[in-house]
Amino acid sequence: MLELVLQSVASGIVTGCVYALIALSVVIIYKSTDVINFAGGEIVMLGGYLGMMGLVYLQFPYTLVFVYAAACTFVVGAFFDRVVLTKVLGRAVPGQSILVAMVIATVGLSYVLKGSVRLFPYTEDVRRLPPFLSGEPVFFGTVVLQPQDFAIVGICTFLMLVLWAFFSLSMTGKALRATSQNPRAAALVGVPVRTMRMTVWGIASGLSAVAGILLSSKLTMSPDMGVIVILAFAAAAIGGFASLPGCIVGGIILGVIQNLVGLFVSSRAISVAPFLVIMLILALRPQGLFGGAVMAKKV
Amino acid sequence: MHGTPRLTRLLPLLALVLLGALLPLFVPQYYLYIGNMLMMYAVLALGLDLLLGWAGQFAFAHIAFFGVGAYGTVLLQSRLGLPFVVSMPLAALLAGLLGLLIAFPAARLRAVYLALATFAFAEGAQWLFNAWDTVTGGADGLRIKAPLLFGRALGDDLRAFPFIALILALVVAATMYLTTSRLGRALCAIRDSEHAAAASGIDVRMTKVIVFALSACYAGIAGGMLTTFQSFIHPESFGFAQVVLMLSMVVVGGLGSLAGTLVGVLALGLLPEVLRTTMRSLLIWQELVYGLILVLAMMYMPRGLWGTFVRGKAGRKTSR
Amino acid sequence: MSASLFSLREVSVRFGGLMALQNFSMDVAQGSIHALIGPNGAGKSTVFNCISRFYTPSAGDILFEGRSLLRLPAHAIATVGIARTFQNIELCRSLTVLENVLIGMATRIPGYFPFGPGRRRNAAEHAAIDAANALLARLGLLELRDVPAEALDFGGQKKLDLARALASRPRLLLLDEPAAGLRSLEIAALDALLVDLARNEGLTIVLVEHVMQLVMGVADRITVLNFGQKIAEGAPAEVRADPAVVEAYLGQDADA
Repeated sequence: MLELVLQSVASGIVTGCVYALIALSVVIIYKSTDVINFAGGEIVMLGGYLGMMGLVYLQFPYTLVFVYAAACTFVVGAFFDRVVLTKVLGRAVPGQSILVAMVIATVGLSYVLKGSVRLFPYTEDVRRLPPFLSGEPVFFGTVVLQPQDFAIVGICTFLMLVLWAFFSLSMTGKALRATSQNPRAAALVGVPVRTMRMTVWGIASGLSAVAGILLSSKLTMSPDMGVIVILAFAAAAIGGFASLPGCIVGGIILGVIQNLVGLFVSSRAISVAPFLVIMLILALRPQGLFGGAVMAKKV
Repeated sequence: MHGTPRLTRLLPLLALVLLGALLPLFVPQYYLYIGNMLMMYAVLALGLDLLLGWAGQFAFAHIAFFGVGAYGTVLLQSRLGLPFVVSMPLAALLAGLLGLLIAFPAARLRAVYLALATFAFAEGAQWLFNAWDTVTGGADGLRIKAPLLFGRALGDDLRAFPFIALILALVVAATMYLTTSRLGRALCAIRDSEHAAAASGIDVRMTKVIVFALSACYAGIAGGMLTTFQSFIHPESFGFAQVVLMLSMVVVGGLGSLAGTLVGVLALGLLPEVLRTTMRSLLIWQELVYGLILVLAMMYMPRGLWGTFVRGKAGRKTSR
Repeated sequence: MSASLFSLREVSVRFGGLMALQNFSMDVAQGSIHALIGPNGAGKSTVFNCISRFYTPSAGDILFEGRSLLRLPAHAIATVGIARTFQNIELCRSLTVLENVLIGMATRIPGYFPFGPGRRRNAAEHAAIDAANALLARLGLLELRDVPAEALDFGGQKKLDLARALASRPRLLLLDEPAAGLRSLEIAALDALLVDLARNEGLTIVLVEHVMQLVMGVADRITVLNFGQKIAEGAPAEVRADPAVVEAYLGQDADA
């Protein structure tokens, strides 16, 4: 039994890293724009398919594939923000929350992406991407891990560090943080708010694309795989939707919970676990494990 | 906005009921089926608009209450032997009670958290419809025995049509009453400014709870309607795709407007039929088209079809 | 000396690590006009938001007519007789001017669903509409009663915010920067209205304000806040001369 639990935990950490990555992209958009991106999962899916295109059709080396997919989705995300969301924001109608309109727009985007991918031939055929790192499985006592698992954890960690460095150390990153905390003040000191938002969407999309490629090496791909976003939402909720480290912890916790639920309850129950997590957290402690006391909004 | 609904405004409803009784005599079954679906969606959309358009509450859970109404109506008849006349309103009431329960924690949540929590709830409910297969029939679906209404069986489109039309007429009348009541005005106040509403003495939380429960009742009624002309219900009918469809209808038609919602139902309910005749592989394009409609509507027609083309005049019929 | 209608006792409010208000006390006499001034960020709106029960103080108490307000939920504040306007003019923008005033009367027309046949069903509503029209007429908004609130100009919107607050026939009126953005003539009209309300109708008014023209014109008593603490209090002449106040605020203010 203990071996099974340890294996569950180990595998859970691996998948949890990917959830954390997707959660990060959801949260950085939320922190900058107050919008929950309901198309987050479809961007992950798009990344996976772009990865397939890069590997199989364009015959790019794997590392280039990551860059290619991230770059393409960066453009998609930035374009969506610059063209669609900016327009939606400008059309604020009294008597209608602008957030409602923006969230609906992201729902629309999710359908556009799904529909577009479906248009291409062979996308419905079940596929899995080859792993970035292949080779003999590695044993830690009774726990088995594939080389790809290390690749996943490594790549995710790398990206999280880059993200941290970007936000803490670079001028652009600091400007982005300023924009998310106080857009008007940021605009007043000359931060180009629109460009910043676009950049955030681009970065978030790029992260999701990498997550998509990593995920597609473990799970079978389909245009509907965007439903994975619920796990990212749950991970982000655990982290309180406010903190980036919270996403990481949330993702890992969720990955482990999923596997443990599958082990102790049933494999059927796995799919309902994230829903329960979200509902419980939002009902009982909306600020998650990491948020501070819920701050009253300034009137 | 205040005042009783003028009796003249009720005339179209009378016409609807008459059409409901007469059309089945002339019109082919297939069109009656479309009609039934549209009328059911109208009830769903009106309930969603009450919550989203009038109260400004973003809640995806609507679809779950639709399922409760549908499964509830069937199960109360098959398991408890209750007649249809009792089980449909009872199932709608159950949906409303469930909505009430959800409403208390939900009313505390801010907009996007609410969207997320209710989305999770809806997905969880669909999982339950699938998983609890001993009761709901699971993924295989639940067979519906033709409900009996005062001795007459209602199992197909032809026979259900007048009943569905009647229910829709009643629901529209109720909506007119609700939205012109002080509740309607309080909802608008909450939607536009929760602070002004609270400072004016409106109990924002309780009002939201009431609207949640009412909206859930609407969905429950629609669920009952579904069982009168379908012979099967599947958990697939109660998923996110349906949520998106309902959302499109309400948003494209015009939030906060009864007429707008009905226009939206017509437009987006007939869209698949239009696509079917003009494009061969419907399914491949359907998602893309819906997605584009949602995005473009938000970009260019935030007031919806009704609000953009039929702007309210001095004697406004809409809430804005 | 009129009895104190309303007081804050040692109220402290903290947001995370920030003390927005520190041991703040203030007494407001019945039928008086009391002004609360101070530089931006001094904590003035925080005081109002505590009274409205949007925030809960971490310490202290707020008393109105002898009862503590801190046990009441936000929507009960209007019921006990306190109304307020907002710095950001919180209006129901999609509703008409008249409907906004009717919202303000929510405490005077209880219940959501008027039941009963025809005329009788709307009796309370008709009475409310008449009262609303009278109020709009007093504020000069009557011709605009069916105009959506979003279509009003800035001055009109401010008047509507005030009308909404007055609609509940409050005994204590809280005004959050009522003169901000108004032209000189409008400020004079506001001045006259406030004095009329206080002197002739016994309405107690507390206003948060930056525009000194209004403050000096109407206030019976002024409290000065800086960095969440009271630094001066008294009649306008005293406060104006107080060096601490001059240093903190009035000396920098262009229209003092």
